[in-house]
Amino acid sequence: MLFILKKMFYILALLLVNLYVCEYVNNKLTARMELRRGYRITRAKGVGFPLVRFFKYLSRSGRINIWTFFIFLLSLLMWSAVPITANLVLIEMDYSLLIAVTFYIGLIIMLFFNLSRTSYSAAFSETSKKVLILLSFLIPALFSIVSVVLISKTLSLKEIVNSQYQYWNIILQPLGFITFFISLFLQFKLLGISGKSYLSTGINIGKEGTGLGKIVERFSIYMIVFFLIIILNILYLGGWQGIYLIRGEIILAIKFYFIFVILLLMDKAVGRIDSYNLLVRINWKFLIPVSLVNFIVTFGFFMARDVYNLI
Amino acid sequence: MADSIYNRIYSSSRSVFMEETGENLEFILKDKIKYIFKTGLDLLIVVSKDNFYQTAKELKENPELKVNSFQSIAAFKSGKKNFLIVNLKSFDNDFSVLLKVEISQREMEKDYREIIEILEKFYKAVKFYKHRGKIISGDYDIKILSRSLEGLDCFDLDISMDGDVVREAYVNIGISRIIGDDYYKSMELYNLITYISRFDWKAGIFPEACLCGAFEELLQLKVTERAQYIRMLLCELYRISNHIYFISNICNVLQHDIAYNLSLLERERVLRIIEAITGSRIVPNFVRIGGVKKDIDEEMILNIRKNLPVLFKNIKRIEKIMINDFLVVERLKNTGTVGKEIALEYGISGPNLRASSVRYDLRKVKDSISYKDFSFTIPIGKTGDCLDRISVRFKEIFQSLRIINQIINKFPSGSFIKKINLSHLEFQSSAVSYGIECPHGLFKIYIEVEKNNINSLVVKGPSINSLILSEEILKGNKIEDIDLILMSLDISPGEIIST
Amino acid sequence: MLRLIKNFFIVFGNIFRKPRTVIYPKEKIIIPDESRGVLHLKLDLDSLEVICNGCGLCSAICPQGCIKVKKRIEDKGREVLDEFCLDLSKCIFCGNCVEFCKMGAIDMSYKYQHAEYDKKNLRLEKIELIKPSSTIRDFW
Repeated sequence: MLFILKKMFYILALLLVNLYVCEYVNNKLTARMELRRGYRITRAKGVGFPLVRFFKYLSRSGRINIWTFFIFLLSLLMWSAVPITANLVLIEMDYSLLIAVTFYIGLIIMLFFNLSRTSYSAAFSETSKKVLILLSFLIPALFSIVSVVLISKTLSLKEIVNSQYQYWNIILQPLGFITFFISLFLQFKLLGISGKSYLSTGINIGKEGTGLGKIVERFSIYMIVFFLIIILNILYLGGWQGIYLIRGEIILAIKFYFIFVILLLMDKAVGRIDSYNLLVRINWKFLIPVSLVNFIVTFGFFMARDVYNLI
Repeated sequence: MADSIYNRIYSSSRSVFMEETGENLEFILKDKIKYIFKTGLDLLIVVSKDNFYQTAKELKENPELKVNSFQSIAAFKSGKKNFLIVNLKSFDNDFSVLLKVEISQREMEKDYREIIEILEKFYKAVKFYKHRGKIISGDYDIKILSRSLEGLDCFDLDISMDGDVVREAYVNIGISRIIGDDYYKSMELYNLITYISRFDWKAGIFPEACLCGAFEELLQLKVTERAQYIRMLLCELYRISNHIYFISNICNVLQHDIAYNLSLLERERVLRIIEAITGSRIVPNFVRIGGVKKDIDEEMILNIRKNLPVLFKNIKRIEKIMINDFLVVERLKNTGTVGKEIALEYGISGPNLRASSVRYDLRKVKDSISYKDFSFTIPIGKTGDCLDRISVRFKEIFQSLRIINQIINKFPSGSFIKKINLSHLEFQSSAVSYGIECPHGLFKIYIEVEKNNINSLVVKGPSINSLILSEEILKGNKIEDIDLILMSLDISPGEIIST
Repeated sequence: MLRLIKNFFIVFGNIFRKPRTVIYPKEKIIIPDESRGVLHLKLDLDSLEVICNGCGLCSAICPQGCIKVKKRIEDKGREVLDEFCLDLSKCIFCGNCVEFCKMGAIDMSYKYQHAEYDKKNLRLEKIELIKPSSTIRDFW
């Protein structure tokens, strides 16, 4: 029992430290990309900025939905099945990928409902549109996940990492990596890490929360991004596998921050995408066909190798 | 066809043409009007209230006249009488008409309403001036407050929705202060010049130049060549500054941060030059009746010459970054399209009109300052959507740079002001209307003077027409595009105040 | 698509470029020569007296009515400025007073910091307007 508590504490501490660093890097780098200096009121180059922002949001009063509670719970629960490193995982099981993905989809649906701040009937009238947005990044990501599963023949995340001891999956699945990365980028853009969130479309456009609800929202948005980056690492970039003498944890941290900075840069380079027509068109004309082709090729390969023993 | 081309090129023949149209109008409307005469830019027709319907009908439906565009309507007080002035324009025959109607003191509301009802039968845009309290307060789904639209803090927007699409939009300018005609009455002339640039805080030189031009027209004063060149230089600098600010606003809406920052930096560069010449950034207070306040020295010209190629290079870069980005083009194309017919009917002017493929520029048509010394072209768009409105403005910036280059290269010597004593001025009782091509459109001033005081002064900015048009073109668009369309019309909040 | 890749490299390069913003109290930008700031009463360099003779033209033409001038007559019949009061809370910095002054006694300084806690401090008297510190080329 104590062992699990200790692990939980480690995971929470790691997430919080990561959150603090990412918020600071986000603020500083986006400012530098716009040729500004960023937040400078606190000393030491604005290291205290995330704390200041936390208290600033907290000082405003805002009403809290029932959804915010669920969001907070789910965004913590999501980490129960995901192995951050080889030992840092709460529950070890064979279907960890399946459970993690379901938690993640649930969290995104919760966020949709939370961000529609008018009455729920109005929220349901917009559902069709939101489902389209949801599909525009979920389907290609799921396709590429399935094709990775077909290659490594397990649903356990730990096994997937271990199967990459020779070479990473990015060499076997370049198309899958590209589609997963673009769908990750679109989510990053829509969730609004460095600007406004455009998830709330239609009537609710431009309505953002205040107070404690806002903090929980932002926390969960960061959690989704962390989760996706770590999944990307595990599926394609070899997870926590060490290179030569360098420890796996350090390699993982380097990869994590590299991807985060690349995402921030791309976020600034691309303008606002809030017209859902464009999103759907990007999805149906580029992402889904490419990921489908990738899936069919891997499926054929899988059938030929394992079922009919041709190769 | 040949006639119209001829008239556009030679302004002297145009004035002959104006007199001819005046005689024609007098012949056609003989029984219905009191009298007609030429006042600067327009033909002033004084009509009694009973004959107003027939006059308006004749103007609209006579195939020789074809007065198809409604420009503005304004009420003012002259002496103890109340007047209503209606500005109509014919783009085919290229003349504009001011209808001056007297309304009685006692039943002012009733008379105003009657005239609006008459005009509404012929021109769609007039419905904006009706009393619309009931419509606005009752049936709408969303109210967009003025503070939520950045840079457009002069009106509320009430929208009724059909799912995600705008069914109807009402602009409510009730929150902006409305300056009456009395505000100018007790003011001295030099103070009026200092205050008038507040009408347009995006490009402050144009109201001043317009007012001073109107008084020069009244006094039949010819300004020295050097003063004219300095005025033109400042006008073009302010035009560039305004257009770059417009582009930065559009980039802010699109969240296109690279172009946003670069365009703000270029605006800063232009504003520095303006500040060095006039002493202030927003409100120049620089133009005087008979010339300008201060001379420009060699050092300043050298400074401008040094900055011109840098400006050209950087703005070209911004254009490349914006127009080549397929995401931006995807967003701007086919949103907020303004057809040629609608544009003419609602009487918008300036770059917005030119984007809908109407080649009309007051700099070429009527030579208010001496623009005919220089060679430049008037860019026009094809369809009149948001992309056209932006690219027309980009092209206009390059034309302005071209004009500035020519101004610097042949800067004439001489005095920069003709000193006149303002305190002992005495006018004959007369009226004048004067216009200038400001970056938003056509800025107009109508003045009536008698002896040594200004009887009435009506200021008409171009933004109000764009605002009325926005009610029409917002219909059928998505809610995400509202701020983009409103921003692409380049509305200056200062001008809305004086309606 | 090519434009997006170019944009990516522009953004990446911006990280290593010098920021364009200034930290206000530490860094300053030079304002141009002719910029209009708070009024300054010129001094005659020989006698170190105010050039202004208190004719009151500036207070008459001021569009906001923020200048108040009082003059007194000395023994020899010479008119001398007694009081000169500027209300900064009303002033719009139009520069008409400088233009209309016949003596050339008024100047526009580069002073820019107008923020005050107390409204009374915005009423500047003659002594404060003469102070040379406010006329030495300041920066913002």
